[in-house]
This record gives sequence, structure tokens and C-alpha cells, in this order.
Amino acid sequence: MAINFKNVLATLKQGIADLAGNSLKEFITEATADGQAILNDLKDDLKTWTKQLAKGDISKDDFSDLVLGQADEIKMIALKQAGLAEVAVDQFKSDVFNLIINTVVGLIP
Amino acid sequence: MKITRFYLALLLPLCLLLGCSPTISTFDQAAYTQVTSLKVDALDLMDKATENYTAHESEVKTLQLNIDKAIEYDKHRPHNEITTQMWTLLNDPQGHLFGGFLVKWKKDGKCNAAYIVDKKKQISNSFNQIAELESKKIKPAQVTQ
Repeated sequence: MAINFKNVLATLKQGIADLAGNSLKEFITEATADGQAILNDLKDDLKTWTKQLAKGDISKDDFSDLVLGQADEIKMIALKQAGLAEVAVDQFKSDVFNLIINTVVGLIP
Repeated sequence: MKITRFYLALLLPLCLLLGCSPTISTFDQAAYTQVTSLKVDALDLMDKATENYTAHESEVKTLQLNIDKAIEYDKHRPHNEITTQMWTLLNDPQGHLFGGFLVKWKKDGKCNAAYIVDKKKQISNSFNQIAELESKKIKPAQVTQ
């Protein structure tokens, strides 16, 4: 049986490009949504806390703790995104591995 | 014979390349259950912070011990550094999330109701980040290696 080496490589190349595009697209969409949510929350929360401070519902110390807590919360989100990037890398590796196996095994009569 | 050699020559280096150790740990049901359960316990305890800290000191100690156990569990999972860092930040007594909240409650004696509502949102969201990362990790059954 003659194997068209060029075709095998072309199939793999296209398959890997598709996998990379899809993985990256999904990751970027989620990270952007997270970033947008942080901005919206930050704006709304600061307004709420300022009003609460003016009304005496919270103390200056509470206000300061909430602002610093917001910064820590953003660090948590950043760490999660870093973790999700690693998950995407592992998923991509696994998908590429499966693609190669399925493509090459598919050639065996 | 030539075909077999071709397959081996193609597969072997690729398997070695792709089969290297994972970048991050796989999903762990026990870890996920722990974080979601501790989130509920933490938010429930925070509701009581309008009352004197001393009246709830034993509950604080029990919950802190359970959080320490969850951190210890996650710390010993391979390739789980990011989740461990998230737990450390959430539990840091010098920080401004759950660990810091407990210190502030102890220092102030009791907390303002409005502050508790605002703080619960931050702490709930922080627990969610750990849970979301865990839930999106690759399931062990999906790992090809």
C-alpha cells in the first residue's frame, strides 16, 4: 500500500490549526467576559460602598477593607485565568495526540 | 515492514513530545466537593458576624481547621500550584478575603451588617474562582496518556 506522505502531513497540519484556533477562541471569549465583569463590578461596588460610607452604614475601615478585598478578588480571577490557560494547553496536547493517532491509524488497511 | 517503520518513525517522537507530564492537575471530585461545601459554611458563618466574635469562636476554629485540611489536600496534588496559591490568598490572615475577614471580626468584636453583605459577595466570588477552575480541569477519563 502506497502512503501519500504529503497528504498525511497536510491533513495533520490543517487539523492542528483548527484545534489551535478553536481552543484559543474559547479561552479568549471566557477571559474577556471575566475582565468585563470585573470592570462592571468594580464600578458598581465603589458607588455602593461610597454611599454606604456617607450614610454611616459602613466604617472607614470597612470601606478600606472592601477596596483591598476587591484587589484580592481580582488576583483570584487572574489566578483562575492562568489555570484555565494551562487547562487549555493540556486539552490542546490531548486533542493533537488523538488527531495524530486517529489520522495515522486510519491509514492502516 | 516499510509502512510499520513509517508509522513508528512518525508516532514515536510525537508521542514522546505530547506524552510529557501534564501542565495542570486533572479534575478531582473530592477537591471540588470540599471547596463548594466550605463556601457554604464560610458564608453561613459570616452571617453571624453581627454578633460577638467570642460567641462563635469555636465555630470559627472548626471551619478554619476544615479549610486547612482542604488546602493540605490540594497542596499534595501534583501540578496543583495555582489552586494552592488561590487557597493561600483566600485564607491569608494578612489579606482581605476570608482569612482577613476573620481577623477583622475578632479585632472589631462584631461587624456592620452592610459590610458583611458586601464582603460576602467578594468571598463567595473568590470561592467560586477555585471551584470554576477545578470544574474546568480535564477529567481523568479524558486524559489520553
